Amino acid sequence: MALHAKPIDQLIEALTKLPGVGRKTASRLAFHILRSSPSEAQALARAILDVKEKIHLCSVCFNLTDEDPCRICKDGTRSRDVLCVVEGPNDLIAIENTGAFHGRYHVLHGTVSPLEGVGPDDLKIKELMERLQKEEVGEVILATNPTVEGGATALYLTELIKPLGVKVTRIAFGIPMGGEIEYSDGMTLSKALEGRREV
Amino acid sequence: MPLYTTNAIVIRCYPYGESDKIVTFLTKDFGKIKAIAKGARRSRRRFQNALDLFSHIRLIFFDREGMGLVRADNCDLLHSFPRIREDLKKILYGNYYLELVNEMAGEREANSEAFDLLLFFLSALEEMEPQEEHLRMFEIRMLSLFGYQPNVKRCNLCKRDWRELRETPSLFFSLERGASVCESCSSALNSVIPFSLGTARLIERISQMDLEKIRRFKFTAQALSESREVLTKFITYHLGKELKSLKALGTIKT
Ligand SMILES: [Zn+2]
Ligand SMILES: [Zn+2]
Repeated sequence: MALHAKPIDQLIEALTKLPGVGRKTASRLAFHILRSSPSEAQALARAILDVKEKIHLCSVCFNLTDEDPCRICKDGTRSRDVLCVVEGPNDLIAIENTGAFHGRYHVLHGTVSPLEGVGPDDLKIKELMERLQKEEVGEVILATNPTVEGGATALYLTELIKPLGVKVTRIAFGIPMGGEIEYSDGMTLSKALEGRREV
Repeated sequence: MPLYTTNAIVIRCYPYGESDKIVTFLTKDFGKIKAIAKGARRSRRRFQNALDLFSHIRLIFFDREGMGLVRADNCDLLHSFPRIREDLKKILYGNYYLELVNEMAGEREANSEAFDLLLFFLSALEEMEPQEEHLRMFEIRMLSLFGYQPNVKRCNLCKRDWRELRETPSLFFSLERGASVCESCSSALNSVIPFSLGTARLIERISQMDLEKIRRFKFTAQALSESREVLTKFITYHLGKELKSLKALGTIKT
């Protein structure tokens, strides 16, 4: 159904392929782009092309990067002793934003998810094991999510890494800051008790 | 929009957008339902952290008549099966239970026995070491519940009853018929698997056994390997695909 001139329809069509964008939103976005200045439109197009051309995976930690190795892997001030394993690049950014971690990362790009048909071979696990053979790592922090799949991944990695004589730790789970004990579920509460520490 | 309450087990869930989750439940009263849980990834208040695989919950949901997805409103966590979640082998077993139920159950077809059966096997997995017999028994009972109980009392073609034969017959299981056949009839059929009379009797027995007896029931090594072959191939044939979690059970070392 060609209601608009062909280029507009093509843009709308392309935008509806984005997650969470329906036809209505796509056409609103398309007309916004149409009304914007040529330089704004060019900047948008350039930015889209740039992420495709310039962003790839760091050959060491598999984070998204525009240089290889990435800035974190190259940073000589960061500890080489501790490696933090995360599911995805967004988890890395969240941890990085805390400013509380000064080691390096390893990005798995997923979790062991039997129901989705994702196994260890589909993740950057072989690469992690190669890193542990090569680099002098004293501790691996497993920072996967506290979901069944995140847990399965952590259990699998623990079995794999422990025999190497490397210390394996799991991030703590418990009551969120500003949360209330009374309204916490039993599993979170028992994890919080388990992970208590001396003050 | 009418509001409903039922007990439910999370059999599948994945993130949707920035803050929502799409969750498939096996419910006690409404069969399998697929729901959107708005805000489940961010707000802890309405769903606590209960919308994860295996969670047994009390679910309150809205149903917009005629729509595919119901809207989960809130839930209370009844049991999260922490000992399944802390053991990789148990997770793999449990995932297989969930996937098999998800594949066999029809949407919005109430089947409270299927719910009870899943809860029973998850509870057994929580409390005991995982044992392969449980996988096979779960398969037999699920097949029976959904009307695909393997018919292994007699030859499906010539109708001879195995009890009437004087010597021990050579049996074959026909995937196509979901039933046993004798050696001479088997030559007329494609995809048949040899199995013993003992295993045929075992399958028959388990489909009627009291659930409490099932917990500690042991198979012989021969029955274990024959029933694995017959049942998993029959399920794969029947569903038209191999279950992903069954493959994971075979490939992920625990
Ligand atoms: Zn890197
Ligand atoms: Zn026959």
